[in-house]
Amino acid sequence: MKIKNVKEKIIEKILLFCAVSSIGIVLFITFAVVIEGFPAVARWFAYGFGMTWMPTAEQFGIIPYIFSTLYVGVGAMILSAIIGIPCAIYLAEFANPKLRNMIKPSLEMLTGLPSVVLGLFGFVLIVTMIARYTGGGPGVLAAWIILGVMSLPHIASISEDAIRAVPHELREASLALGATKWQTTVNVLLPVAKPGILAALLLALGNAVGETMAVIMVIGTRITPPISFDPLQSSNVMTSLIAQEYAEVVRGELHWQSLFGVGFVLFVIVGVLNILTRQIVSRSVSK
Amino acid sequence: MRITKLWFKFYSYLRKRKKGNFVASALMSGSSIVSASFGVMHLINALNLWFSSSSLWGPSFNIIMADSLVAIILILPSFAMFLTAYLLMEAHSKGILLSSFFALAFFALALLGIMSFGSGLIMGVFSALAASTGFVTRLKNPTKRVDSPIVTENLAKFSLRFSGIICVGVLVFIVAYIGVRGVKYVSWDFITSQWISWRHAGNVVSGVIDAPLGGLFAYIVGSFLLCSLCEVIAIPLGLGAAIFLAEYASENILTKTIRFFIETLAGIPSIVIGLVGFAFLCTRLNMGRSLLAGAISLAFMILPWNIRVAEESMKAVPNSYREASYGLGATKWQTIRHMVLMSSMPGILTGILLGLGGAIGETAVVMLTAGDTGVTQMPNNIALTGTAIPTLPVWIYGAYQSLFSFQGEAGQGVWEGQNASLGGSFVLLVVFLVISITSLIARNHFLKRLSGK
Repeated sequence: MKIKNVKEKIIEKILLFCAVSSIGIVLFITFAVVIEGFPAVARWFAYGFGMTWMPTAEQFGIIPYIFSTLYVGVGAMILSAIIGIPCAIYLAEFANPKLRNMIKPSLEMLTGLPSVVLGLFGFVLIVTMIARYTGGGPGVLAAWIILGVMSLPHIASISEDAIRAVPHELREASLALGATKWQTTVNVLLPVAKPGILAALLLALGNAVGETMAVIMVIGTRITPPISFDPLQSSNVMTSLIAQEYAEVVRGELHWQSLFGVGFVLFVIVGVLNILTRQIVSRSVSK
Repeated sequence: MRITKLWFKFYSYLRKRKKGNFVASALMSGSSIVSASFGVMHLINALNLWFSSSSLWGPSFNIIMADSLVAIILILPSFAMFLTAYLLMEAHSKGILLSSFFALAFFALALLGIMSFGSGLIMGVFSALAASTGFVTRLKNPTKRVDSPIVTENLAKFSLRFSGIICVGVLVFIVAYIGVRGVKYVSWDFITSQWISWRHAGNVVSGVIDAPLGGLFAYIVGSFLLCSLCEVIAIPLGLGAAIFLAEYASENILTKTIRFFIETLAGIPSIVIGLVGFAFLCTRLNMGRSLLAGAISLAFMILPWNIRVAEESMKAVPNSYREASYGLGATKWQTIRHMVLMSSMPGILTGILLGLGGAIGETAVVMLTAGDTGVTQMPNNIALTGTAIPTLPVWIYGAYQSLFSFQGEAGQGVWEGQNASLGGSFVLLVVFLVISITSLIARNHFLKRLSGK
């Protein structure tokens, strides 16, 4: 009997260890990024953030990268919200089972589509299209389109969950008053589901900001991204900067530290977005 | 017979409407048809160009695809205008608003020179006339001042369904495009041979480049090894964490913290995980870019997915199962092992497959920690550390990079190079689709069984 108890306790401790390991992994990643990137971040705070990125001249300015990363991310988010939110409303309220069974699985597959494949598709077709019609080439617009496709399923499925989570009594009360489905959706469901939809948008933004391979292949990888709102210009984002330059750096050099500094800034941006999302969701739940 | 019936229905529908509404709607439809003709003309032009080019299957195919996409975008406004015509017919106030908006937009586009002046003017005048006719009719009929909610409902249903169909269309289009262009390269030779020279991509470019386009065998094996090792690390850890969270833990500060960190881990950009793996595992721990470093970093990435799905499926197991097991005198661990794990197995499998699907397509982490585009062959003796390994996604990235070396060549070289890299993408896509469809089926099966059907 006692041996049995001991065994149970040991198993519980092992399982606890497994669960706690994820805390360890996150802390490990955070510490690694902070330790390697801290000198560069300190430098940015001491001597200014800088406007040019030029490793050959030992210049590592991060302002253009912060701008272009957010610009690309927000544009992609808006683009996918235009299709994603109506799609979520359709799935939650209007869809017949037949179409729903087609849309849901394809959204799920779109979520996991290898980003490198999507990037190649963008480079081969979307960039050709843009070059043919605008005279531009790889650039912000192509990145918007490809990232928009990538974050479409996130927005659609999370917003759908948010709309579905609206209590049934509200829906029924509205329908009982003689409102049509659309009137119910606009006047009752969407106001209640607003925090959830906002959370979906922020999560999609975080995903778009953290995406690497699809962006690197369509954005044109200019070494210092321009601070302008022209969507046809080639640009660059933080993730693709890291993916391009990690191979050339030597440990301990300023370039290495700056690259980790960029990683740190990226980590902070995405972390802030995630925490904001969670705040919005938990506040709406506690209401 | 059927057609006459339909026509009669349509006719009686029109008879019931006011004349002014009918005229306004007809004007708007005319404007819509003019607008749609832009897209259709564009498509006809593109087809004409395509058929007159020397070979249908070449760079011109890409151009016709691009033109068709643009034609679809050009046709979209005419859809919106057609819906406006429907609103005008039903004497809906939004119809008047929308048609005046279209009138203003077309006048502006014509004046700014974005579209040709004549056609912009024609469409603008049509829309303006439609708006004013609709407005006057509405003024004349004081009884018909309330918008019918059913009309709005129909309109909403139609537009929302359209957005849903776009979601499906995007996926189908991407897969079909890659398949159509890449499938020529997907042969048994392409997949199994250790090395096919770049001659395969047409004689034009032979000798221009020697790496990394070639037989995919080494890359497929490398991806397979990496993902298996990654799952070997992630499954016990993820399953353990999921069992703890679902079965042992009560909602206290510890579980809240654990959940917070799992969510955070899921949100960390993959490139940051790759960078940390590169700095610590490859450089500090001296593993080099290798199987083990790559597998550990990938496991960090897919761990949250494994945990989340496994926990959800364990929580979906009815409590009566557990109680029955306790009633027979089983301990907690025995209950979990024999009842909970067994009955939630398909759900757990779904999570594992989901992670596998993510891991097999992940490029950033793999490139930084397991082997970059310079690796073209499987090492002779595969070791856990020290030797970089080739993988399929990194092959695709390398193929993309090598496309730039053809830019000076004839268009055919670029075209064939793109086809070859799309062939590799198609192989990866098929592997991914097989994994994700299997996981979808497993989940549906699981949900059906739990609901007792």
